Amino acid sequence: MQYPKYISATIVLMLFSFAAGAQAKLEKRMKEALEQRYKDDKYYADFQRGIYNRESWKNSWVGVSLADIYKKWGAPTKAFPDGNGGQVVVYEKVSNYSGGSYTPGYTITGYNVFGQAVNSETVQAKDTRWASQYVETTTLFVDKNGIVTKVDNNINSSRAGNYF
Amino acid sequence: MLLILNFSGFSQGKYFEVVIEKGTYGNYGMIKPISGQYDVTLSYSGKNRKQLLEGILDYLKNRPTLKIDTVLNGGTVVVYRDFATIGSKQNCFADLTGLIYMFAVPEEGYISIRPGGNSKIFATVFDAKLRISPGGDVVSEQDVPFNEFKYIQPADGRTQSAVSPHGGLLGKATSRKIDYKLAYPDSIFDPDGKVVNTNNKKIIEAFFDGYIADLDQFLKTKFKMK
Repeated sequence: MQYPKYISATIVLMLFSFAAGAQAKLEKRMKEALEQRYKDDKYYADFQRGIYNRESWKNSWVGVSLADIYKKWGAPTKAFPDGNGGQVVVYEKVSNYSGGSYTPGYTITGYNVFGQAVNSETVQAKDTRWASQYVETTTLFVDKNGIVTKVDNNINSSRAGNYF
Repeated sequence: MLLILNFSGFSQGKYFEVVIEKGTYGNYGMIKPISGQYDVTLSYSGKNRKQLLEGILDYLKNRPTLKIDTVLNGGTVVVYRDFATIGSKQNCFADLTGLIYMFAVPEEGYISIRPGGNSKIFATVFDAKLRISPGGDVVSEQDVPFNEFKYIQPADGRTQSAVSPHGGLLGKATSRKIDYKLAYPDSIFDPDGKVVNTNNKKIIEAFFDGYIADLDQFLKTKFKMK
């Protein structure tokens, strides 16, 4: 009687494939979770690089004379005295972006041979228009000798319209 | 209003322990003195504020890896910074690096000391090599992924649906659950606040204890105290 042998072999195979399946499933879940962590961590690394670059850029202007700043950056948006013989010089850069489109809505009506409306379908208007504005403000603190001692830089954004 | 959830039953450091606190936007992990006080107090009987300030500055001269960040008001507070390895992937599941700001306040007969809230632990499972700028900005070589250490594993999430990427019922039905905690074996707590990595808890507590013990030992030797 060979049946018990076949049955036990089948059970062993089933258990083996079940374990292998569970392992594969776990590996897939692990891969998905790690991919997500990679994305999050990459975003953070890039964000930190942005901060680092911005700080480096700001520091690169410390010690430069205001005359050289004017030569390179042109006239500032505004400048005023700091009350200690120095100046506060402000540059503003405004950038506007827009996109999307507007598609009007419409109604399709079906008629029978007698000219009677039998059905109608309304398609809603689609509005994907958007607009955003970025204002980058760079403020230079200049001492009484006309030398930049500190640089601040920040960006404010505003947006309107339909964002998805 | 913060609620401290202290999980007993796990060993803690000599001066610090890792705890979960409940904030407005959910739980978060942090390191805090086991005394329950705001900071750790180190006593040096008979030593005045000036002597203790000199002692702290002398200590920092003798520890070149510690960088003086700020000395406020001529020495009422000394802030110093360290950027150091806490543990490696081999023993912590992730390479952990600390950017630690210690705030030391010399008083009459004692020093109050604590890690600043701006201290950070960074973690990477992708072998990022971290670098710090003089201004304290931390980046990785070639921008290899790293992040701030998550004391608590993130709660489960879902993949973005290819059918309905913006979500909704269809989006939910056609996306899969992501078991985030599988990717965060280095975290100390699970999303429910249960300790799941006692090893890293001990390593981090010992790391912070080290700052206190090292300063204390240095000053006791300097002042010839036991």
